[in-house]
Amino acid sequence: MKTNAIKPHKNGVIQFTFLATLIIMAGCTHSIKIVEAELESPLQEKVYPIHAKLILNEDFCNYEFSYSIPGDTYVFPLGNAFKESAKSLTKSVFQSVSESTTTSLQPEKVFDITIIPTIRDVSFRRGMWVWSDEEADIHLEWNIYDRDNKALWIQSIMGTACMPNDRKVMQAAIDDAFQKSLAAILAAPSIQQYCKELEKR
Amino acid sequence: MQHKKCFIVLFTGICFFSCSTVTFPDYHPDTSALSAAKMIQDGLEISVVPMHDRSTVRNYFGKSVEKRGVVPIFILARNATTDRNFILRKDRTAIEGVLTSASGDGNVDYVPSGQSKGGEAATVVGSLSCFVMPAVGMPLMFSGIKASNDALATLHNYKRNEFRSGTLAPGETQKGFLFFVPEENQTVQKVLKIRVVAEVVPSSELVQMEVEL
Repeated sequence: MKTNAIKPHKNGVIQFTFLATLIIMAGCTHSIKIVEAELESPLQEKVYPIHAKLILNEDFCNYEFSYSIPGDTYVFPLGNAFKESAKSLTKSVFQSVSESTTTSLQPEKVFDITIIPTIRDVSFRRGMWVWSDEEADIHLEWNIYDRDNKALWIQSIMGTACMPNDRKVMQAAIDDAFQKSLAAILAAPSIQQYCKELEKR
Repeated sequence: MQHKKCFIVLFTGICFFSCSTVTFPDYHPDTSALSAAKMIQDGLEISVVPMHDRSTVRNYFGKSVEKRGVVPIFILARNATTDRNFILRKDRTAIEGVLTSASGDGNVDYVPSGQSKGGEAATVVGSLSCFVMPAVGMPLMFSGIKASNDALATLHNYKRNEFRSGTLAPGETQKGFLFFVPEENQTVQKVLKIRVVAEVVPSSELVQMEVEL
């Protein structure tokens, strides 16, 4: 009698496990859209009165971050957000900005400085539950060279955010990375000094 | 009925076990450790603390980093000048150490720490758990998700603590870890020295330092 009573339940568990395994193995890929960073503009208009060349290379413009957990792959196409954020940041800091995709550092006296932003790393820490906090870090590196292509300022900036939502946390980390970059570029003594020297000439 | 109870207890246990992702503490070396291997040249001060103890590595970077035999080396750089800027580039730093291969031969190797793109970190930490666990099925789903979340968290912590390139204005400091990653069949016996090259702005003059341990 006892055995008969257990059988339907046992079959149900097996069927449920089989179905769940199938669903998990089938998997899904989620593409999460991120937009450019919202930057708080610096107080003064065009803080550095110099002409800049912004080099946006392919790796930077097409950057994609992804991670997988059982059954799901999350893809963040971040390149466009990086590109647009870098453009708006440089345009708010320098008097004029010309964009380029070439990575060659040939001396071009037309430009006072050359700026190359690079993404060194993006990392993500998932929470266990939907409501758990998640963390995202963006490691952005700025390489700024003078007219003679001598390194003027190289800085790694880490944008970080912690909140319980994939898209929001990544967006907040990008906002943070570019906002910190803006503050760091404005505060960099070597860039300030270089601008003063250019003004004297 | 007995089976049902067992299933509920097992399921609840798995859920509790899986309810949080692994976390790592922040590393704060004491001043005596920092002054043990220290060098000052042209106003640039470099302090180095290698993490040889395996249980400490496990505590700060996780089991997978410890098992792989990685030796994290903490670096603290300070610009002690009042008028100079230094550019520290990670791709110009290097680690020299004694490695032992599976055959037992000790050899000295000089490993440039290079510019990280994250790839080596993924190799060290491993992402196997992210792909294997789906096949295990529903009863182990929670531990599967926990395993992949823990792998992500370990990688996240590894990247967050890496020493990175930067410009040091007067009075500024910069810190982080360089990772001495041996080949699969080798173990790090000892870290001998760390080479750091800094560029002075705007003269582009180089300051080369070798901190012996």
